[in-house]
Amino acid sequence: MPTSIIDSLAAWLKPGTVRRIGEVNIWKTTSGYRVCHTADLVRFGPDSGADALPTHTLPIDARQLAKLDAERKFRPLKSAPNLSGDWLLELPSIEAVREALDYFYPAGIALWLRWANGKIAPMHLRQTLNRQTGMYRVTGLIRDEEATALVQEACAPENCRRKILWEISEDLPVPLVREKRLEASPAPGVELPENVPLLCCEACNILVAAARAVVKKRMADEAAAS
Amino acid sequence: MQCVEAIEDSRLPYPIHKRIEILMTPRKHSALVIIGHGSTLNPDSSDPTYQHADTIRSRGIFAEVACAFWKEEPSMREVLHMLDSEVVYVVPNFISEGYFTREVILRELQLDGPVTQRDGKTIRYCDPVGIHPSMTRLLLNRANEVAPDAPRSESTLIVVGHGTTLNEQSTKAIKDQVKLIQQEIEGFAQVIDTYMEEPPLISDWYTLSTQPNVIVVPFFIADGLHSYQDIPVMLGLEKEPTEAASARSIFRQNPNRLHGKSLYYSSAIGTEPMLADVILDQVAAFDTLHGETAGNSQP
Ligand code: SF4
Repeated sequence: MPTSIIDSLAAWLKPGTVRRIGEVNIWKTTSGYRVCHTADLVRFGPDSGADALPTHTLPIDARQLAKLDAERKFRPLKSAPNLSGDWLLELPSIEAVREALDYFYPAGIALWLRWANGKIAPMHLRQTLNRQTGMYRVTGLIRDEEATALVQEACAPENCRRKILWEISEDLPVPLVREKRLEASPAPGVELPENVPLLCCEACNILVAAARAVVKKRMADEAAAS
Repeated sequence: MQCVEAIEDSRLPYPIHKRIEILMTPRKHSALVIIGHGSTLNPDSSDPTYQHADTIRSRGIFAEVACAFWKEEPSMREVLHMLDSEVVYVVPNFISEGYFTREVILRELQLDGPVTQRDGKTIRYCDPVGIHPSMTRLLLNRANEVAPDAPRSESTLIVVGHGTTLNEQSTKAIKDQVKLIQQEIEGFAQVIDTYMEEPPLISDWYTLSTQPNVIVVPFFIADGLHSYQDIPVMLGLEKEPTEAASARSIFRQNPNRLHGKSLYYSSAIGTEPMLADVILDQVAAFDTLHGETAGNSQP
């Protein structure tokens, strides 16, 4: 059983397999590893028949590939389903794969491994909001119904691929559509699955900022009405 | 008055000639995490933090090197999960001590203080880069780069920061640098601190400066909207905020003739490649202060 992240990755990428995380596929070659967008697998993948030339060869190239969408707009949320394609990344080592995957999906592999091994307790939205200070302190005032509606909209599958592991609070679950639910339980020692799900163990800063906007708007509306 | 090396020698916790040797000391069982602010709007905000991480990673000093951000991924809550190392050094890529380094980072990384032990890891929380003595050398480097030919005896060096009445610490790092250069380093006829949001205001640069040459260095971590867009307008280099990408040319127009003076404008100090060494300086300073093995679960 691999104990380190790098060993888990190496075991996952055994020869003859094509693995996936988010919108990228990865496979081992005779000289290293190749990574491409899932939509380009037919064109670049190991079964494509053509020996395509890589367009990129450095792990840090992944940072640039993940930065902007097809319309050259910034992707602040890397789990948004808008990674652009049309590139083939060739990497020399498993260390380089680890680095590149962390640019495409920051902490994606690690979070799955830690969660599967029972090392991550998801943080409910109320806990995340209640610990905020400064300009985000006000998010603690969000109402349950506002929080539920916000999560359903902001975290919808068309905005973010992560599976939500938290609830609004201990006794208020988030009503999740199928794509946002993780159908698995922690099982220590389990290996990385063929398609590694992206996990949301705690609300991201984008959702916290959106919660602030909801509360601020309500306060402004109430002030205008009184 | 002394040269910058002599000043550093007296302020660093180790002799200056030993600095590079100390910074290059392998820490093969440790990880380094650099914390940046990041942005959900500006695609370039996290670049300097990543580039310094690239530099340090390529030197092979640490077993693992990672970045984490307040406004981007990975978050501070996620980053420790990405590391297998038992000892983790955390260096904030922030310009000053204050709200972020004393409150947000401690809370988000769940730290108890300089040394925290949790889940089998020892987390060693270093000071932010901006307050390290070697930042003086970076400041002077920036000034030399943008205005190599302006005679120092006829030049004003202006260090510009954000400034805010809410957090005095945010101006302290800048005031300290200015005082040090004024009192101890030979050369500039005048050295002053200015701010975007509190007096002395950067927009008054031409009345504040007494010299015909004026060199402005932004004391910021990244060339974000402040140094591309806001400060050029405050200096009078631009009429209105320009697009981030085209504003890169701002740094290539030196010198600009304005108000009868030659104005030289540099990019943010945090984009200086030597900042990677300052990150390592903070790791070395931490070990000098707290001992290399303080809190380690294993020798
Ligand atoms: S809170 Fe989680 S699921 Fe929602 S947008 Fe942020 S990362 Fe995605």
